[in-house]
Amino acid sequence: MTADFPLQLNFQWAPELPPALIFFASAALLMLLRGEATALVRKAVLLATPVIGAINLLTLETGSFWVWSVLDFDLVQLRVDRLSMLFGLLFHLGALLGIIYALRVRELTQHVAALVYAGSALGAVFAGDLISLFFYWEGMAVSSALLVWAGRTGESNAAGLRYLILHLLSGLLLLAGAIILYQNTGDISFDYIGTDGLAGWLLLLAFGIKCGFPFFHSWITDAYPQSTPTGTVFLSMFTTKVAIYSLARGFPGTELLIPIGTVMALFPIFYAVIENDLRRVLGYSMINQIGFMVVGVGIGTELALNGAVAHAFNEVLFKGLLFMSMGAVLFRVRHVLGSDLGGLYRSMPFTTIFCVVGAASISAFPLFNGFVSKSMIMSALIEQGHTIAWLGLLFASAGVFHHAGIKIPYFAFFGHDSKIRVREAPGNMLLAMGLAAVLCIFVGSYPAVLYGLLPWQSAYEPYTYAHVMVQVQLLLFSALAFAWLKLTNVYPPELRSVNLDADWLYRRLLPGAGKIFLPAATFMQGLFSGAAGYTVSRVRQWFIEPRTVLAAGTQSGTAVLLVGVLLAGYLLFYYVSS
Amino acid sequence: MQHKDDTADSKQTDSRPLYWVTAAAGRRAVIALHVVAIAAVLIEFLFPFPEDTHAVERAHALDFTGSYSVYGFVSCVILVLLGRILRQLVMRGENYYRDSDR
Repeated sequence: MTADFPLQLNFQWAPELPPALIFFASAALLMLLRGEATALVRKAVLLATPVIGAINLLTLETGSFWVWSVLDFDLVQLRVDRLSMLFGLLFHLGALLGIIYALRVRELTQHVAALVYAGSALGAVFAGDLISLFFYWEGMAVSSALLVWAGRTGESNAAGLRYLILHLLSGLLLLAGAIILYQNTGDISFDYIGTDGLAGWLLLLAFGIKCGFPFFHSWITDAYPQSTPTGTVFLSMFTTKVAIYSLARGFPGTELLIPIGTVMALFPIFYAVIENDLRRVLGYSMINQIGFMVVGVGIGTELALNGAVAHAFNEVLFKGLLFMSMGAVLFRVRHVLGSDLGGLYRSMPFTTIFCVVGAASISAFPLFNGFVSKSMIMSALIEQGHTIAWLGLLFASAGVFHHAGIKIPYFAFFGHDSKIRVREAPGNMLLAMGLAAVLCIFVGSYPAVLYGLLPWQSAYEPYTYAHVMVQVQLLLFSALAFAWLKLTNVYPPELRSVNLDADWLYRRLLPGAGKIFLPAATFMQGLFSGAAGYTVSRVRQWFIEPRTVLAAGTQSGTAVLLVGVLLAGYLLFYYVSS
Repeated sequence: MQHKDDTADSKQTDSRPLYWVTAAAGRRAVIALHVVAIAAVLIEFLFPFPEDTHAVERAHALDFTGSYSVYGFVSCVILVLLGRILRQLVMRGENYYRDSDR
């Protein structure tokens, strides 16, 4: 990793605070500002938080600061290097976009939860030890669950609980891994971990749950569509990116991550094609994109790691933009079911344009930001000879254009006219979407700006004749396939339905198994307790009740004699055997 | 709790389609898509990638003219066909989980 972060502000008076602290203080201040009279002040505090936070961030110097000694542990609250600074900058940017987007929300809890959530994410990426990471990890889990529950429906309550259980499990694994690591090495610093011991595997699993590894991915598609329009935007920005940061910090070059990431990039695209809830489609799309990043971390070369973190940076922008556009639709129409939408470009033309920019970015069209980061991972894959994984990710690239690039804008804003007529999204939502769209195009058009911020040294030029041509061909012929499949009615229609996924295991299979096994368990318990009761009663009869052989008429003198005989027998046995 | 102004608005607005999004424009867009897609392959045929092209574009598996076009098209057809099969396997009624979740 190269030395200092290139963006620096040099203020003599800078307090160099941990970025999390500013967000937590802001959340505490917000809780004091209740009532209509302070609405404007609340908005000012909200907007000022990421701005002040970003200024503070850019004054930070490389090194470890704010070290708290607790018991025998040195808890590092501020470990500054290029990797943590890149994610720090990203989270401030994401928080600013999210706050602008949610500025009209009047529910204080959502704002407080969002600030604590963003602060916890920042705390996690600047934590220099695993114990501090654990606390911020759990802070993220609880505050983000509050954002899911903010949906205030039966489904959001249940989904939030499932979400919280999985994330607390992830935290538990993280803590267990940290304890074992401390026992083995006497060190809790959060640096390269690897998979040499049990601690490494537990930590990998903890990060994997937050990342959405296969079979642990369902919390994304289960919980994200249940939150509020604004809550989902925040949710999409932090948790999975902290997990990618943690993998890049702790497990770079772990080859197992290449097949895991490839599977993550591939399987969600099939679900996304048949999913009707367009925010859930974006959830599947998120797993797909995280798959690319996981592969990048697994390759572990400087180009691949830069590609992984650059793609995480870009994903916050384009996925945030897509969630914002679907949130605007949800806000106005009250649902985002592909089967019931269509023709919204008439009512929401600006939202349509911003959604199309997000779609072009996630599809990696030239001049949009996905183009300049996804290809770094692809290049690193082929350089290291992982041809099968490369072919898989190329398939996934075509697939993501299909579901996120075409399906989302087509079914929401074009397609058949649903006759739904609503107003355009509110001004603050449009502003947030507009800023995100401009950033998508800016980073895609001037990638050197992003490349200059990346942690590792590696030269990469995305705009070559061949790269542009192959990407254009891939995308144009994917679009052609969509057009043909749609015109010939082969493309599956949008249907109101539920598609079974890994969450079926704990939403239906386990409760179902419980229903089957509970009567069996009750019967067995009855059987055993019956048998045990019978045995106990017989023993009682034999030893205690007065008419039995050993108990009947037994006097204390007889008992002493019996003990004496037993002792004598024992002594005799002892002498004979020795 | 959302503000009264923030709630869904069913107010009727102009239902006329914008001039660039009509059925005829859609047909023209599909024709244009064919033209541009074929042009992209022809350009590669006429101006092949230079020999020092980065490995990602010259991977052995796809080292022939128009290979990425074929891969993109076939991938999406396979994706949709497998998606249809997946739907047969996993699709349930929209209230499938609702009762058990409450």
